[in-house]
Amino acid sequence: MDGLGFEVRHESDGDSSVDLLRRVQTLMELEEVVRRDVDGRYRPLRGEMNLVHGWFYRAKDGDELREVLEVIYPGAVGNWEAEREARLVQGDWRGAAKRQTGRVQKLIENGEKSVERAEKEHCQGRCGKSPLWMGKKCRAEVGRIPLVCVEPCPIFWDAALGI
Amino acid sequence: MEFKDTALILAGHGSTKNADSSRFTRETAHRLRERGIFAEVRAGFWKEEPSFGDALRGLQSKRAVVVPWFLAKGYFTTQILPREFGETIGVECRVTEPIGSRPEILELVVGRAEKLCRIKKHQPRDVCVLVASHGTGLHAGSRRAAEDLAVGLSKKGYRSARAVFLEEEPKIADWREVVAEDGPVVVLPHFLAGGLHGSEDVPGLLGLSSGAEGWSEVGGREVGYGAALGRPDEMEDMVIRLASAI
Repeated sequence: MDGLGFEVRHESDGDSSVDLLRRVQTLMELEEVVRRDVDGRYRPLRGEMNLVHGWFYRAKDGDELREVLEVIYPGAVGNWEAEREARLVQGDWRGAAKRQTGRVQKLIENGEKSVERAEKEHCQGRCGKSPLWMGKKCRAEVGRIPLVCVEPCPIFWDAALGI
Repeated sequence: MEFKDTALILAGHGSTKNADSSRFTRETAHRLRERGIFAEVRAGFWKEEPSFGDALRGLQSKRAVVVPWFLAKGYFTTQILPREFGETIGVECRVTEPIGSRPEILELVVGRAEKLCRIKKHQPRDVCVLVASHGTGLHAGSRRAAEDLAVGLSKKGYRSARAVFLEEEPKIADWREVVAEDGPVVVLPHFLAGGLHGSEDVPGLLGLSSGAEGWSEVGGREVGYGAALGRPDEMEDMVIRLASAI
């Protein structure tokens, strides 16, 4: 942004004049913006393709830009770096389930179909992240930070359990 | 203690259902980041994003101090967090005692009880206090933290002080039997957030129409409901003390 830092906005806002967008001033305010969908409902799945638009944030330098990206897509930059540097330890859903509480652990024995269904409906149907733990590859494109999912999220477990 | 090369992670529970469950944790993280004490500050959660792993991989620092945003030395703080932060690649993590281990927590709980008493001009000797906590069969530490607070409150001159629970006996829903004495009852939510448990579940089990701080009448009894713990202005210095003590 003309040597003055970075301007972050939703891709769909394109080149819209800042006069038409709401300026978000703080990271806490930005967090409140991105944690809600367009109807104001809680948006716990941050990889879901329903990020609201109509706002912009000015980050003064690269460090603040990193904080901004951390708010919008938590972990995305770090996971991307770890993936490029081969630091990501990739397990499967069973290994992740072992670290959960008892009801999730029960999926290991007889929950394979539930997990496959949840992966199809939840991961493929809702989330823009690539689930590495299901053997998916990192969907890297030039000029874009890939969204990778290193391990199943709580919403996935809820879906697999039918909660 | 200097933290210029050390990141801070506030490790909380979070929720997939309630947006406000993690609000205090996240606000405290933002406040501490603005103070510039730590190289980086992150909040990470068990039940929402960022996960503990994502929060760690997002760090540029090679060292991190992890402060458990929990009230008890219970299941999460003795089993989950040491494991999740125990074998991390590229970041050396040290996990502190949980926030609930700080002596200021009793002061804050007493302050909430006193505030409610002042509103109605009740004397502590006339008021029965309940500490409403989660409890879990997975670990006795959760229960112990609430019971310790009840003991601390009883030493402040209240007529009685007991702990009641969501998932253990005595249950919050049975509060009328737990408080055998008549007279006003003050209920103090033992939660580090105004999320689902503190703002909806506990008030509902008590028969209150809302989780707002203040007095109501429930079945002919005066019931005062206190504010949840975890307010960022009350927590941030406690977090620094925990990080400094490790």
